[in-house]
Amino acid sequence: MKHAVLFLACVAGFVRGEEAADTAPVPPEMVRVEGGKYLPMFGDRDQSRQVAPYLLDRRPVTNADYLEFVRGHPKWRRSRASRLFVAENYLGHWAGDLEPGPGAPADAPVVLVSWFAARAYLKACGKRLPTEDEWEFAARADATRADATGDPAFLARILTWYGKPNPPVLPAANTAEADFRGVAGMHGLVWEWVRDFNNQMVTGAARNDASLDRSLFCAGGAVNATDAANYAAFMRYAFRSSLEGNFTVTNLGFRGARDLAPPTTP
Amino acid sequence: MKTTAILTATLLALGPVSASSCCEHKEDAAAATAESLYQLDATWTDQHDKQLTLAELKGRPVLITMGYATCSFACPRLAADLLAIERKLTPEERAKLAVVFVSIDPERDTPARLKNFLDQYKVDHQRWHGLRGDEDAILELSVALGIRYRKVNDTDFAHSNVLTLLSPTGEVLHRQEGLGADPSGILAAIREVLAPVEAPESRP
Repeated sequence: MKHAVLFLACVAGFVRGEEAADTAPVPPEMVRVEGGKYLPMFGDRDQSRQVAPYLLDRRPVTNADYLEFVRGHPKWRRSRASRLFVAENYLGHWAGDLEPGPGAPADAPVVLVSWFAARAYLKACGKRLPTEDEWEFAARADATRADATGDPAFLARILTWYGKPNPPVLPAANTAEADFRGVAGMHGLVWEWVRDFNNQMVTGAARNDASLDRSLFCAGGAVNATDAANYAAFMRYAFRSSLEGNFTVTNLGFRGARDLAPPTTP
Repeated sequence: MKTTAILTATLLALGPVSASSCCEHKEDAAAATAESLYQLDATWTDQHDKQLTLAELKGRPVLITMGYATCSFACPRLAADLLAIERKLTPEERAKLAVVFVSIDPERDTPARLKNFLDQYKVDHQRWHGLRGDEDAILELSVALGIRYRKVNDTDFAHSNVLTLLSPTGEVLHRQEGLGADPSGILAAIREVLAPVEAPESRP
C-alpha cells in the first residue's frame, strides 16, 4: 500500500509536468541538489563543469514501484518486452510478469532492468535518468559533506563495497546509508543507470595503437582520467563503458531525476 | 579485460546475424520483429525539411551512421567510407539501398547544413537522408545502434565511427567499426540481403 502511494506521488509528478518550477516545493520522494562546479573523472580534463540545480530521487526505484509501472504498461512486462529494449534475463529474478516473488522483495531496488526500461518508467513519472555528471556530482557526498572524495576513508568504503559479492536477495532501498541531503544508496546498494552512459570513448588496454583509437572514436584521444586516486569513480566509468542499452545486470538499478525550470523574471 | 567486456557487449547487442529478403517482398517489411530499430518512434527532419520516422525507410536495406556536419576529422572519412561501399555496388544494387547520416549536433546541423554536407559528396538525395532530431531521439538511436558520443567542447563531439547495415525490416545485420575499414564484410551483407530469394524447390 505504502508503495502504491509512492507510485501515485510519482504519477502526480507527471501531472505537474516535467520541470519543477525553481521555487516549487520539492516532491517528498526527491531532494533538490544545488549543483555547482565539478571536475569529472573523464572528459574535459582541464575544465571543471557547472552542474545546474536538479531534483534527484531519495532512493533507487524499488520492485514495488516497478510492479505498478508494468501493471499499467503491459508492453514492459517481462514476457512482452521487446528484445531491442531488454535482454533475455530482464526481470529474471521475478517469479512472473506481475509477481516479483521472494527473490525481489517489494522494498528492494529493482535490478535486471535495461536503460530503455528505466527510461520508459521514468518518462511515465515525468522524470528522467540523471546524467552522468548529475549522478557523479551527488555521489561525492557523505553524511556530512557535499564532497567527500578527498577523504581516503570515504573512497575506501566504496571500494570495499565494490569488492563484495552481491547478496542473493537485495536489502530494502530505504535501509541504505543516506547522505547529508537525504539521498540514500548511491553507494553500497546497487549500481545505477545514468542517462548518457554511452558517452565514454574508452578502448581496451590492449589497443595501444593511438591511430586505431582515433579511427574508432573521433576525438577519442581527448579522454583521460583526471583523478587517479578516485579508483571507485574509475570503476563506475569502466562499468558504464561496457554496457549497452538493452543489457540487464543483477546489481544494476536506477533512480529518477528532474530538471528545475529556469527562474521566471517578474 | 575491458576489451573483452566491450567485445562481449557488442556481440551480445548484435545478436544473431540473419539475412532477410529485400525489396521483392515488401509485405514482409510490415512485420517488424522484436529486434527492429523501427520500433523507435522518434520523428526526424531530413535535408529537405521533411519530417519522417525511421520506420518509413522500411522495405529496403539501410546503411546508417551518426556524426556531425562540421566534424573535420572523422565525418568526411565516414562519408568517404559510405561512398566507397556504394562505388563497389552495381547501379541496380545501389538503387535499392538507402543511406542515412544522423546528426549528433542538432543545434548546428540544420536541414540546410545537412543538405550542404551531403552535396559535398554529390550523393543521390532520393536515397541519402541527412537527419536532424531532438537530443532525446539522438541519444535513443545512438544507444540502439551501440554508438558512443559526447560533446567535448563548444564545437566538437567525440563519437564512435560505426556504419550499421539494417535489414529491410530494421534489424541490425552488420556493423563496420573504425574509419577506412575493409568493406568486404558489409558489402557481402548488403549483397546477401539484396539477393532475390530462390523459389522453393518443387516437390514431386
